[in-house]
Amino acid sequence: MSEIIMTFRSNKACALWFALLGACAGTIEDGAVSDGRDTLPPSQGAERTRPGPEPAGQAPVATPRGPDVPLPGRAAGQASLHRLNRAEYNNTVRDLLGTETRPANNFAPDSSSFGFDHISSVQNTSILHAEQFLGAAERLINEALAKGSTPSATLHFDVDEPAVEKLPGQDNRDLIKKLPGGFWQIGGSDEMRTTLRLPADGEYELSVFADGIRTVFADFSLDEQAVASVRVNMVPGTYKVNARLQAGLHVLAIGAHEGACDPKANLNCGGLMKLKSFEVIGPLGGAAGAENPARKKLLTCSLMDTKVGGSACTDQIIKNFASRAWRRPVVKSETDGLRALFDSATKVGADDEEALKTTLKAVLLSPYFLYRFEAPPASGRPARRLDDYELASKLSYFLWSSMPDDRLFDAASRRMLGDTKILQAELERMLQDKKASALVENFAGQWLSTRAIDAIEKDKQSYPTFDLELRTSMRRETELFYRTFLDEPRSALELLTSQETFVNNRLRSHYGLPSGGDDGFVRTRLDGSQRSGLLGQAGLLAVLANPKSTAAVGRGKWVLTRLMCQPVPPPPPGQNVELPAVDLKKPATMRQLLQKHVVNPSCTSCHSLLDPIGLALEHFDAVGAWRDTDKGAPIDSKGSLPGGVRFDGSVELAKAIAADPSFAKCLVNNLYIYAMAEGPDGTDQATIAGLAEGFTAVGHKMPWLVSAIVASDMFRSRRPDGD
Amino acid sequence: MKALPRRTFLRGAGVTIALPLLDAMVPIHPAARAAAAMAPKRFLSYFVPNGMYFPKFTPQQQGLDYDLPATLEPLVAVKTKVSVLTALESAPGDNWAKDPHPAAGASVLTGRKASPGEVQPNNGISVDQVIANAIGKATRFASLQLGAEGGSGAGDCDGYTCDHMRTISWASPKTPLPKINNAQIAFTRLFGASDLGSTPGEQAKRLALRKSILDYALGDAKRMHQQVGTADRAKLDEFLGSIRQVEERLIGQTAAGVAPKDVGATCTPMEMVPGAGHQGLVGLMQDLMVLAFRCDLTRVITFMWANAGSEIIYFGKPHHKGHTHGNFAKAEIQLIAMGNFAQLLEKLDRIKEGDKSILDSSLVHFTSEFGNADSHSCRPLPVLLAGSAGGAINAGRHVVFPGRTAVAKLFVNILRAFAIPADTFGDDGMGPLPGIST
Repeated sequence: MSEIIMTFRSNKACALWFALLGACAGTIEDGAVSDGRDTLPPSQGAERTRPGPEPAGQAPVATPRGPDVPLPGRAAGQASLHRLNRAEYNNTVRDLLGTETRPANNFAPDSSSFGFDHISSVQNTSILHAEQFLGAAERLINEALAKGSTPSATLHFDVDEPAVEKLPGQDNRDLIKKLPGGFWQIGGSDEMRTTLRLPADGEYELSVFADGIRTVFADFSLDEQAVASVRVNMVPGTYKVNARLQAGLHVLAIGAHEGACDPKANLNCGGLMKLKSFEVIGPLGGAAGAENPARKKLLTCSLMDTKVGGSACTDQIIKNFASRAWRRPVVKSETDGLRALFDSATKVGADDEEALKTTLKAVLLSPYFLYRFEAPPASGRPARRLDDYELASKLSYFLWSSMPDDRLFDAASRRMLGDTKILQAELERMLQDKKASALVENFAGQWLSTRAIDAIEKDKQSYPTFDLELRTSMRRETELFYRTFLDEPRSALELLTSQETFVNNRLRSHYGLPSGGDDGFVRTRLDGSQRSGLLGQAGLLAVLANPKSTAAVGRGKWVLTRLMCQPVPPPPPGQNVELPAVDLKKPATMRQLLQKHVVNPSCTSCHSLLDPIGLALEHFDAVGAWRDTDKGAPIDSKGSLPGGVRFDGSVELAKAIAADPSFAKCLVNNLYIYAMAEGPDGTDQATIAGLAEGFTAVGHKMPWLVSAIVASDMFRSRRPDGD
Repeated sequence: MKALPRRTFLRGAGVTIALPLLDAMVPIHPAARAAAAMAPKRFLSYFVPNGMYFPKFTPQQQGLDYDLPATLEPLVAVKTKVSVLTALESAPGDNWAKDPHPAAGASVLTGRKASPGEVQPNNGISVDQVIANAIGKATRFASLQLGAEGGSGAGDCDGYTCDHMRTISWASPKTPLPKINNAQIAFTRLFGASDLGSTPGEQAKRLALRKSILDYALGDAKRMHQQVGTADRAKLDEFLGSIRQVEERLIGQTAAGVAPKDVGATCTPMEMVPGAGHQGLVGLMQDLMVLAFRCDLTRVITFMWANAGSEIIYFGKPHHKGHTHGNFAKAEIQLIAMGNFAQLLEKLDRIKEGDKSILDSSLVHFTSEFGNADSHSCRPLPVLLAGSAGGAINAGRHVVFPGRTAVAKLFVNILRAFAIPADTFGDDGMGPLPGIST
């Protein structure tokens, strides 16, 4: 990864890099330090980097291990046991069992603090969680070891006298009507819904018997999540599409949109479709047992052997599975315990297959699976280095929100991760893996609120062009944009100042750019007059707005709190903080409405900070489209930052924030919290300050920051608990 | 918040299919059930965020003949069973100077001043959980936590952990109980969980295997428990407790042979077709609550119409931003929420157990985290009580308390109505309120 080839601009930065990563000067590439001057003295950890298998009989979970590190103890209340959150559970079972079912989507919501939903100390386990963990473990193992196929079934639905429910505030436009030939017209903002129960996870065929009134796409969604779309031509017939669906009770909805709809030319992109009936068929195929890849992967030997030689095969299967699920080698006492469970299952009448399932389910309900466990240092001892397996997990949950892969496990098993060069090489490899999109989604998506793009709602009357396609495009633009900061040697300040972005045709028209050839996303250079960086991207701007209007104060607050880490106090009590009602005869611009804050002294102290920032973004309406006027008056987007730096409009605002050191510091602070999965306290501040300094010295390169955090003592050590 | 469907809801009457027959609900602990009266007492707390505008909420008249101001008008059909309690306040919840929403939200059913900070939640046990601990063993679910707003995927909860704004049920000071905000998931939990097989032999085997899985997890948790520090031990205690509760419920299910409780109508699961939007979700959740009581799946429910500091959108604006603060006095959303609440009460009142309705034997508590949300004040709070817990509580009157009366005192009355000995509750609930209990 080219970012790691770095030339230090100053000795100070070099020294910092050295302190953090144990290497310095010249370039670091492929783990080679070109100037031997400054290699770290062999760390105490290096003693443990000798390759070799786990010593037999050692209980890796029983005794705190790893050499001492002189670090402060943790603050009271900081938990170290990290329970997998929903995203982590989903990704972990994906990598463990090869399932894409994302079972944790139905778990109780994760609690958030410090802006993230994976903070160890607040992830609690209620009875609801316990129930859901049990249910998921059972389903996952049943599915993974499923032998035969579930017979494919056909669920057929005729559309017949639909009862229309009108919702307050929404207009059905009387589109629903009966047509000749048994068809019903649906479309616009309508959809057809039904409940259905699917017998098993798997591939299903979804079909409509329909006729496009124009060429439209029939959209299938399950429980409000889009699952598939199929083009319906202006010919009556059956139109089919396949989708992977999960077993269970669902609400299936079918709607239509017009694919080639140009929102500039056409205010209503909802397509009209004639629908007669629809079918759900599946699960398709139903592979035989031997072909179930998950089963094949788990059953590393023939279970039949257990009948012959006793338990060798069962033991091997259990040991392999538990070691991967628990992300460390299991010791003999543990395999004995699991074996005892297997035996007790056979005693109550389970056959070997069922007993094995029971055992593997228990592995997934064990706290060693559900929690990432790092034993604290022995009483009275200082911090200790994490062992290789603990470090492998900490690294993979940071970068991938998931368990280590085989290669990382292999490096851990050979005790190689104590070697900073090898650790660095693994990190680079992992950042390039597509699983690193978890870092984009879960870190950037939460820090910069863009995970909320999926929940954007806009008022149809005010923003008729806003639809699912636009929302999906917004999200994709921002994801692709974020990703470049991991893949390329660009400064993180360009998160705000970049004049490049990614657009498809839908966004081109939304941004007023000339239409492109094909409909994929293309990296595009903007002229820099209207938009730069994230503050010019429609997704974020739409998140930071109301359904019917912009939200200048909210945008200002977001910039200060999220980008600059400056807390903003709540309004004083008793203040009527709502903007005056809009007089339709004399509509006021946002700036005129906010003028009130300047007049009222109890408002001014905070709003003099918030409002100018929000007003600089007023050229972007509530869906992030450019506008020159607000209520007919030209928009005045001039203002200044708390430090006094003046700007006019969002491009200059973005530049001013990027130039303010608080932005880079704020980014470092947030990534550090995310990496550690715990809230920072006083003991973290020196590390964060050092990271921030180094980050600036290397030109704000994200890969540097990621690796510097991983290289830090704080990341690589388990500190004593506070009480 | 979960995305609202962008589309109008169109329900094809001929399209919907009845759900496949679901497993019968097996009631648990026949002994406990037998001991219970024909009409068990139930507790429901109904939370609506962002306060009530008192000039439209507080009746002029006191006593039985109280009037219904604009916001309370939807309650007209059940008025004789609803009491309005005026001028109760929460000193522990009042934190207007800093981060008012989480502090007030956390105190709603705990009467405790939650400590700010994001490292760990720190509150108290909530009154519904004290009741669940006492009566919850008689039913399949000791308690249910339901809601109609999930909360943003990008969490930022004003200097507290987000639980303080997203649940009102606390099993212990550090164990907030997450609520289910999705009707489908709630439905599946209530009716779709049992897959124990058909024959008694098969059922016994499945239960034994399931129990062995739980026992194994308990064993590992105990092993891990010996290897960790204080904060982590607390987390594992929570894990152990939760796994044990699942196990207890399973053991309860083995006590088969008692017919499902079936009050007035069949307890076969209803056909569930979600409507669109927040109102659709509230309606479904309310139907599920009625069904859960009716079929005696639980006797304790908390329901959050929306989260504290809610961002649910009504009239084009997020609830908190657009409807407190200045537009508060219009009370538009408050009226919608009260209409929902009234529908729930009416449904509960229509289902008879003997000569009484489920509402009569229940105690339904209604409140918000604030009174006047413009000033983020918990002094006073809007409080309603419906039903009489089988005659333990005076119903159908407007009672005005002297100033500075702690709302936590009401929780002492509530606990006593469930025959739970209590003298104090929370930080300042010193003794019961006068004139509430019969």
